Amino acid sequence: MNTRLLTFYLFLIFSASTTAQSIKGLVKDVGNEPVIGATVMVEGTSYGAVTDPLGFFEIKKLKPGDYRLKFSSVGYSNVIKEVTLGSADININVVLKEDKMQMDELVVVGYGVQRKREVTGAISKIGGKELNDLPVPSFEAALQGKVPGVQVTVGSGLAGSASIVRIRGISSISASGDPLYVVDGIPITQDYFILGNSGGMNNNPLATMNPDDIESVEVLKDAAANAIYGSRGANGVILITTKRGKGKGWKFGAQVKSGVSLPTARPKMLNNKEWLQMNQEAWENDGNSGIAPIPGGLTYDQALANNTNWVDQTITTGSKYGMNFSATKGGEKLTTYMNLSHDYNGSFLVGNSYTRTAARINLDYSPVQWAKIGINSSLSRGLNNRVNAGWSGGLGAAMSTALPIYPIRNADGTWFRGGNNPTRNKDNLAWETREIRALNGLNLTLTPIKDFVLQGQASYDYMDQNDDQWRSSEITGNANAGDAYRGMSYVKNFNYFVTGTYMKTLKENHHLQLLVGNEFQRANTTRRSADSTNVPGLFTENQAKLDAARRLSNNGTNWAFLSYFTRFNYNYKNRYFAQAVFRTDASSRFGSNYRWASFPSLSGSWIISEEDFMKGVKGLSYLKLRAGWGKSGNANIPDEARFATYSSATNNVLYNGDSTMFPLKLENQNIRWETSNNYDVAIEAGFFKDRLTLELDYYRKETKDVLMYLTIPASIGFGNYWDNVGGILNQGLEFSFKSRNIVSRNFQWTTNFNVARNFNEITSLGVYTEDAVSGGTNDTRVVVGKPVGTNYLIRWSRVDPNTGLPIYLDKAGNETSVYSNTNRTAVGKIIPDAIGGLTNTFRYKNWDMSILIIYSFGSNIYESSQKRQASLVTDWNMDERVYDRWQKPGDVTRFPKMTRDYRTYGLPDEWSNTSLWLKDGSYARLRNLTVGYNLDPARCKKMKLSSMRISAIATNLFTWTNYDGLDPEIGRDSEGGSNGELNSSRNMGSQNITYLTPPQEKTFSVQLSIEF
Amino acid sequence: MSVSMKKLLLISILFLSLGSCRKWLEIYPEGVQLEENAVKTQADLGLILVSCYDAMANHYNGRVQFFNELMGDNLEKPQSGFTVPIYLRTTNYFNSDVAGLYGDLYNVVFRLNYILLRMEDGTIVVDNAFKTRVTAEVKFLRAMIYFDLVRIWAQPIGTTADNSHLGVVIRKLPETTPKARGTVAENYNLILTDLGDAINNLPPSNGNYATQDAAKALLAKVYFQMNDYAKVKDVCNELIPKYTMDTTLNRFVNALNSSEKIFSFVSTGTGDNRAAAYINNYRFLNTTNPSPIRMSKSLYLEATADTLDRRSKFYVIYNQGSSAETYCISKFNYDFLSNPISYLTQLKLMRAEALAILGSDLSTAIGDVNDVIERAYGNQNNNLPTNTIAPDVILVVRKQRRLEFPMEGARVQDLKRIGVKEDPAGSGSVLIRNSKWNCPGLALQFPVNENTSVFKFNPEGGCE
Repeated sequence: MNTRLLTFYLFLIFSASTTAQSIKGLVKDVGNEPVIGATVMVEGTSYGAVTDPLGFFEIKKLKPGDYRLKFSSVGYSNVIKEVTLGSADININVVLKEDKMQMDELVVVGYGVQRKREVTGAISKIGGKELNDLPVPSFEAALQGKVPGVQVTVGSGLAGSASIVRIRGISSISASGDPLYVVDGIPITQDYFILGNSGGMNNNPLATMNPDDIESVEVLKDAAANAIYGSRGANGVILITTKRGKGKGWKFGAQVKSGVSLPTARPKMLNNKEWLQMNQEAWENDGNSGIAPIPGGLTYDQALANNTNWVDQTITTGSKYGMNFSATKGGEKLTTYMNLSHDYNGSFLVGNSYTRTAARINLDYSPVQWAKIGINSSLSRGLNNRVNAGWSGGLGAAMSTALPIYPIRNADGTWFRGGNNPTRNKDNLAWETREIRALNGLNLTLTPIKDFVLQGQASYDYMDQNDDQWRSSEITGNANAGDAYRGMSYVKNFNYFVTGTYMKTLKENHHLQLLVGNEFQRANTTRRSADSTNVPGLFTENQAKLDAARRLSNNGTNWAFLSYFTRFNYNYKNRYFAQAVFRTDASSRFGSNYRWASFPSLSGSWIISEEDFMKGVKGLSYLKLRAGWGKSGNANIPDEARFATYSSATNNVLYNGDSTMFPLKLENQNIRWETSNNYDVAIEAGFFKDRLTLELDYYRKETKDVLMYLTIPASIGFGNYWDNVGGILNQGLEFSFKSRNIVSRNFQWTTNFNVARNFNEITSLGVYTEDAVSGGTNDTRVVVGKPVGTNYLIRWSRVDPNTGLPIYLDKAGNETSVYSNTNRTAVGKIIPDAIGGLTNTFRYKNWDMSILIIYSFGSNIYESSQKRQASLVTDWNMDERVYDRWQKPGDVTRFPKMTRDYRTYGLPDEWSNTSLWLKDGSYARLRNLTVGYNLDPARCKKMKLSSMRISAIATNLFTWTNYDGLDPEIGRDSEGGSNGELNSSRNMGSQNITYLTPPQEKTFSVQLSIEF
Repeated sequence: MSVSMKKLLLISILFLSLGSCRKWLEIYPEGVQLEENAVKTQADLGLILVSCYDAMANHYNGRVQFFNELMGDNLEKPQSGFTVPIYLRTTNYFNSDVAGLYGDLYNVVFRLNYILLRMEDGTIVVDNAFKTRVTAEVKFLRAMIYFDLVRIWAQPIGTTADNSHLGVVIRKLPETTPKARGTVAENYNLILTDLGDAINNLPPSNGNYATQDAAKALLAKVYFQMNDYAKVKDVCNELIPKYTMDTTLNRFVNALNSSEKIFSFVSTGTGDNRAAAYINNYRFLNTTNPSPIRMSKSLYLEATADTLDRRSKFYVIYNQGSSAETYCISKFNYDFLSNPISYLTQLKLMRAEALAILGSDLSTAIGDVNDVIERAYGNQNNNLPTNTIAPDVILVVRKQRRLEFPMEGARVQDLKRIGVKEDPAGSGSVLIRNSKWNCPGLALQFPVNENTSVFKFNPEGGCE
């Protein structure tokens, strides 16, 4: 539409005047929030109206006279108003008081809100307070144990690290298994592989989000709930709603917190004498005599004189502090929410911290009754002081190649360089990832005609990441001040949507709502780098060097989605609910033949407790049955997956001074959407006026055309390409209850419990074998009939007590001394059978205490790095578990005899996998213990405060597990990804495959919150 | 506002929103080209051909040679990494170094086959002269790659009488289907056919690119590996008169301008170094820092036994007398080097050995080997007497081959060739670092990505 036309229309709107007599007004709650969907009936007539999202209603064509208006809405007490209508319109504003049961809370459903009782899909809601109270690297970690069916694996103890979030199992293999995150209607950038794969755990784009800004998080789990996000709903959707101004007048809040971070476990590595003893034993076992060779160019005496505890060198007590100020203002026309926060989150790894500074302003302005303009705007900065960890060094080195016989410095004060020296590496490396994130949305809500609401939002999500590294001359070996590097990436994510909603109540009992919408999203990622030699520090401190640096521009990537959708809701007597959703999506990632896909969904629910025949059932306050079916999709593959590409003609690759051009990858124009058929049946029940509420869901998700980055025979000339292959089945049960066990004036006790059982199976792989997609370190595979992330290993039987040598099992289960890859078999899995959480909250007078226990049962952990930490002596240190080794005939031990030659065990190399390193990954842990004190309101009043709270919080205090490694909760970057491309095995190697992965952190903190 | 106006507004806005341009979804990759845009003309195919040289120059920068040396007896066991199993002859199909080289070589085969297909199927219009030359260059390069693929991933030619033992997958088209391995006979047939075509159509001179002589020199090496010495003699007789011996002892410092040069890969600077793997592996900085990869004691002793041999000066010993004694070679102590692939000394020593084995024209054989010895000593004092008998000539030639071509990957293939000829039963009379020349692990295992129902992997292990 051109501008002139728009201006003309606007002129018409504003110049027009109303002609009919009507009763109109606003319906709000006590918090001055509009009550949406409230029914206003003129008693004794068929006239009536339903309030729009602004709370506005209008009943037209009434003759003058006296009327009784009945205002009603689920969850609120009815209000009757008597009015006399004369020759002029009447304006009437009504405040409804809440009469809420748990089933009547509002739930964000995607492009709208519904009451929980109206919802026909599987949606779980978490209040912002629950997320904000927990000191976590990023807000999504706080979802752990609180939402049934949502597995959150916190990304080790590294500051700012990402959590791996999987909703109702894993239904993808190579395409991302991450849910879609939507903040105030904006699908945001969250991929933590966006900068590739570095340091042991990648920087997490979600960490810039201030948890204190979050009003609520809704997790959409089944297709009835997430089909409205059709194309990207296959892995579930996490809707984040930020706070907005409410109430009347200004309110201010301030929060300060401080704490410490410790590892949940410390590796118990050998000291110098112990290591030397093992080395010598292996040497002699191998048939040698004399002193065993010592690595690092050291003599035996030197080695004996050095005893460096590298774990102590890389682990410290991290500190944390944070402050947060907020101001909110409610009002008739303008509401405001503002927040300013600063958080310093130091981890237990020496030199590692994440600092977030964030500001947000959310404004809502209603210049006229039928229009509202809203602005959500946040600006945050994340500063990640990074260190190497895991496979990349740091604590990972302390657990591997940094031997205790190595000194930190030589006698002359120079750094020891003969072997891995993590202290030298850390002190000579400066590494910061700085991120600026601006998330801005502008929305407009109009009610141009009765019962119709038009909403539009345009948003811009901008992310600017600078990864700065500097290595001193000590590391580079060049005789200058050092080398600096900056990797820059800019992600611009533009999105708009427009929806029109028509609501109608017919004959009081038939409530209809139709939503039609259109959405478009386009994202652009640009990557550049700058590097320079002879720089005395990071580029951030050496601008002139940056200006003169060599700059490289990497290829940018772009993607776009175009979607049309509609949702129809029907509600009969607030008792029978039906919903139909249809969304059609197009993704630029697919070729024109396969670009569009449709995602329909049908669902319904029946509130049985509203039926007359249930009225007499004692104790039962609520009973609802719901069922749904729907399709959802996944297009989370690299933007260029389908193309056969060639290097640019100006690729700067010359041979003999001549230009070159070469193919980069194979084509597959037939890649199409990965789609899932979802079924969900559930019962929701409330007892004793909802003192006890239960929810039981059964779901089944059949995924087909699974997107896989397939390993193809290298003799083709390329190692991988993308294709849709095979299928995956997920099905499971979720059960949760909330119980207010004791409710008395001075003491309250509430229990929340949830458990989810998931069954996962790859149902087909087409023509491919289990090696088609590789996970972990060649330990995890895709196996038909087994779950995604199956540990596919040669089985270890035992140590031969006579020889001390390993005995393996062949495919048939017979013992053999031959190690052969043809004997690999499915022996474990990285996904648990059951996950869940238990929260008990106690309140005694002004004191409260909350205890969260999370658990995960039935998964395996593959401790991949232990193969070089036990019995096979390489250039790695070992941990104390090695003592359970064979030393003499007759010994019955866990580990075989020490050797320095892997061939002793029949292995082809020192990285060979066996089930000896496969562990039981079940655990339960005391995730959170919070004790709080709320200052007496009377005292608060004296201090001119509206509230004050002091709390002490401990996380990860205890863990119950049989796992003998560091920490059973293992979240990490999976190896293999680079250049921001999706990782071929990201769903198979990111959880429960540990390779020197740091433990989780244990934190203790105190927090003071005031409101005034 | 009247209801009709509002409706008009509403409908207009809805149309506005539904009118999202579908062209917004036509997004193409940046910084790269799509195939249909990239490959349109003869010149484009020419660019792809240069990229094949570029890629091969990178893969033959000492890396292909290193894999051969690891299996042989010229190197000490590497300190760590996936090259250790190559050294120990225990590779399995998860060895990422092995998979890397294998995939890289086949990637060049894909490019070469693509060029051939595009010329053959007429999708790119090419002139006859271009087609003739480029086809010949493609076939030369393809033969060179397959010759190394079959020597590294299969037991040597001659292991079975009819060479029906398995070689490598033959791909003559750019294709995406899994395939079974060809036999070694089929592999060598392809190599010989390709080289025949190349020789017939390559130009006599072609700058730094493949020439007729380059193809002939490769053909001589193929025959030599096949123990087909009569044909070695014929090809060498054709080529040797066209070149003269260079006095430089280290041919790497003069790979481009040497009078011996037949085919070399070109380096133009440190950023364009086609001997990078040689330099990264073997370069040592000073007397306290040995190179990452060290020489074997047996090479060191043989190469330094006679200090009058000026080549002995290339070798350096560290920690002499201690248990940590190590040996390095200084031929690669440079920032960058061009990379000699085929040159006269190879032909001379091949012809010398061939003639001695054939028992014909021994004086030419002795002359050839003496050219090499004379250069090494700087005088004729150590030359073979003209009456040296054939078996002694053979012994000396083989020793000279080891001393002349260290780290160039010739040694292990020499031992395999000799094994085929002199110990066909694998009785143990010809050993490669204590292992029978045909023990299974001396053919590297294929990468796991070849795991399809049609593919048969190599047996593993079985070596000392």
